[in-house]
Amino acid sequence: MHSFACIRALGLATLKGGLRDRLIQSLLLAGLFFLLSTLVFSSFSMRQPLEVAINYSLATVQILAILVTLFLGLNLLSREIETRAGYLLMGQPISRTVYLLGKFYGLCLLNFLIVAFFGLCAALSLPLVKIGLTNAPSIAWGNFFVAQLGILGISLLLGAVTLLFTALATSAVLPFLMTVGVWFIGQSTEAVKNYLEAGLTAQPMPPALKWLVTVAYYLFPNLSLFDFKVYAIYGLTIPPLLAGYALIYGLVYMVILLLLAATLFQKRDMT
Amino acid sequence: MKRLLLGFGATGMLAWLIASYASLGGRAVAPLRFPSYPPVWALQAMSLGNKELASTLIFYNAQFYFGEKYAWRRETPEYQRLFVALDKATDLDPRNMDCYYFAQGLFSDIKPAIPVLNRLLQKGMRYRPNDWYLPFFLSANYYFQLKDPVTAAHYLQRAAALTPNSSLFASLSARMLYQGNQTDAAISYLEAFIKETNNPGVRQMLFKRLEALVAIQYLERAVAAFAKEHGHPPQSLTELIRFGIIKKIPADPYGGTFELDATGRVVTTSKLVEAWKNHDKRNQNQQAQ
Amino acid sequence: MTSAIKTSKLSKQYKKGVRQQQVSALLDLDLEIRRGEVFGFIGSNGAGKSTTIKILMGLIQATNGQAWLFERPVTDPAARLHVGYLSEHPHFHDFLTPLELLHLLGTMRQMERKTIARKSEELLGLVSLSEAANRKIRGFSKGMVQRLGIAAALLGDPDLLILDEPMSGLDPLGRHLVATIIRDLQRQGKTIFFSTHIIHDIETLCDRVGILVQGHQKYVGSIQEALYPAGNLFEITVRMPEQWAPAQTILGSLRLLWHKESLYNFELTEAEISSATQAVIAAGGGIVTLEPKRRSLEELFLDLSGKFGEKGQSDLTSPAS
Ligand SMILES: Nc1ncnc2c1ncn2[C@@H]1O[C@H](COP(=O)(O)OP(=O)(O)OP(=O)(O)O)[C@@H](O)[C@H]1O
Ligand SMILES: [Mg+2]
Repeated sequence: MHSFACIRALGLATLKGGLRDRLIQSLLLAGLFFLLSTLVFSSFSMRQPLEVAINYSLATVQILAILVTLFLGLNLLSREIETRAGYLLMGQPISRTVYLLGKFYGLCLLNFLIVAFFGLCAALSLPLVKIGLTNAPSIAWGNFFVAQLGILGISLLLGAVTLLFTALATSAVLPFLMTVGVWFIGQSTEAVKNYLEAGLTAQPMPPALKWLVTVAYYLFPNLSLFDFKVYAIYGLTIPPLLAGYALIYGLVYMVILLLLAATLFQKRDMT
Repeated sequence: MKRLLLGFGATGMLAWLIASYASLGGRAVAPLRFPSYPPVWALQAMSLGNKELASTLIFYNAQFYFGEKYAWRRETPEYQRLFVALDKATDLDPRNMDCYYFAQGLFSDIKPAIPVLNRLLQKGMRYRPNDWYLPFFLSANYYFQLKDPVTAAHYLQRAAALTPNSSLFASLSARMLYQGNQTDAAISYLEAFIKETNNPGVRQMLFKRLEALVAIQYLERAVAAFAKEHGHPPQSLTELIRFGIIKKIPADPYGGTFELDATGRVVTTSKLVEAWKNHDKRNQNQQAQ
Repeated sequence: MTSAIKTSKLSKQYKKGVRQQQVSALLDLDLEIRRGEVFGFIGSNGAGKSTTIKILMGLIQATNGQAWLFERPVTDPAARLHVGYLSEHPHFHDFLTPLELLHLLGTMRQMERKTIARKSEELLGLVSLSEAANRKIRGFSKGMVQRLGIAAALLGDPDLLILDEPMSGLDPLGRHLVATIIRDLQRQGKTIFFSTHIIHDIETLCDRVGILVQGHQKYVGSIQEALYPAGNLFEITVRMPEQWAPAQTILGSLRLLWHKESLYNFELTEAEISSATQAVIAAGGGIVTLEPKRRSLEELFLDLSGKFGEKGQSDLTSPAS
């Protein structure tokens, strides 16, 4: 019970830190600017301005949520260990796991707020795009919501990855760079694997490369699994099995990451 | 916070200045080339999980390039690169209707491009089974370019089944199926297409084609009137002027001249199409000079 | 009586760099701090004081040996429930205000919301940070941060305070404040364990001291015994009239340490005190100070290190405590 109160308090403090962080504030500002530009951006489309508007706003929310996660991880997790500000908390009568979970909870809170806020902004801008259009399709709001959840899933997974790397590394920039790497690999493994497996390559693929891609596919989080944007853009029906699989995959992966991070963190010397 | 806003403003201004300088000053000097994009899997990896947005951006780039190259600079666009880019964009997001629409606008005049264009449109049909435009485009391509009215009619029926407002197709399909006048059919198809187009470059291109078709239609009607009056077709187009049926022969917007062939049909010395194969070589020659 | 802090054969080796070079920071430390005691922990830079303290706070893991706080192993987070800690280089979440920080810390110490509010206000007043209570910590000066650290350490009304150089970075008022706080807490029966480099603090505050030399514990016991060895000497400072010939008095036989204008400072044995003072008064002078001559901390360290260097073991160990 007490642990929960600690996690909550830590999460709220982290949230405050995030909202007061200059870098994150400017990211949010940039996000608002981008969402405002949806109207202009979508107007260049010939046949599907509404689809482009949904596409553009969801992509903005996604990039924003991920960047916030990355920089929050850098400024509020890794840097906190580097500057020893976290030692004060670890010197309190709480276990390091509670500390870690508190930080993660803060990350979740901030991401949730950001995705919700920008999702709402995007949702408000879409009817504006629709105003001038004669036979635009209706917006699949349910799918739009699911796509936002997928974005949340991606950013939380990356947050857990940052946490793990923070537990491993001593410098603050390293976890940041490694998380960027995981993001890049994680969102492309599926595409690369499918491409290689489709046998469209000119030369037969060397087995070592195939092996490498397969390992990367199973080791790194498969972020494209959480990409429901296309369903929201074109109003397609989301296969429930796929959504369920993504949910379970995300949860299991996240729990594994957190467990690993907690184990590594427990052993670390906070000198 | 204030400083931040100021910074944002300043960067924005700077970007705007650079962009406007590039578009004014740079235009005359630098040759405008269309990029050749990396393979689709690399594009997808670089899109950072936003392949639909990447698809849209490629389409935008193609659209802006075409507008500037064709309408502004009056140069031959790099059609093949454009096609490859649109093909990649529709691999990234096979539902991106803009790409299919743009491709049809660009390539439906270019006979050698028809097979690949049709393959592209068929890809679109797989992913947009409820979109009547795609079978409509295919039907037009089969009819006008491949001279295959049966397949054209098949696609037109599919298109008609998908739209509640099929009056558009009524005249068109009648003309196609009953081997009516090709020029009339082509004009009504083009008019239907132009009505749905808002891209200035594409519109300009379509209007040029429409202008040529209208000229042919005009001459064909004059030839028919001459035949009715004299009981035999004219020897040449100048005969039409001599007998006072028309005042002058309209110009071919593609630069050729209209004449009558051995069978008595109106033809032009130009190909009535944009260049497809040799544009890259020509551009290179231009640069080399 | 149970102990507040106990360590047994506590050792720490840091592994450094890629090649995992070992640095032995602490070796076989056996300590026992009784409840209610004020214990000073001294040693030259790099002696291992902070290392010991961090092990006690669970921030680093001992390579060998064990440590307990109130009979609970330090690896158990609950052991820190009644412990307040001030780190050597306090660093806080600088995006928070002192009030927010104390609220966060209070929650972790299972304090009630109301208690936290009351206690925070009281403590910020104590360390004269009331004015800055709602300002972000980011803009704080070093001393302000140190003061906030002290407030944070005192927040849970802890039975044991572990302070790593609590006086560093403080102005004279701050030092006085910390000294007062420590005395107050001692009166309330709390245990205080602190490291310092300031001999005055040790003398005026500590019941006992522990001295570390290169990770080895060299001495545990009364500071008097360490600084004022038996058979000791005294120092006398006197003010003498202008026409005064040292040779004429008994003072002439003493060792003159320094003199400045009319002030003279001599070294003398206990037996010489009465004759010397009489001589000064007879010569029309006055006694300014008379105090036992003590070794400086530097001398003590040199002494301990030297002995350590020669024999590998000091003979200055106190009787077992
Ligand atoms: N993270 C670390 N990695 C490697 N060696 C370390 C580390 N931290 C401390 N040391 C070494 O351990 C020894 C003891 O350091 P410690 O910080 O405990 O000294 P200290 O007594 O607190 O000194 P000071 O009076 O300067 O604060 C030193 O030799 C130091 O170099
Ligand atoms: Mg230290």
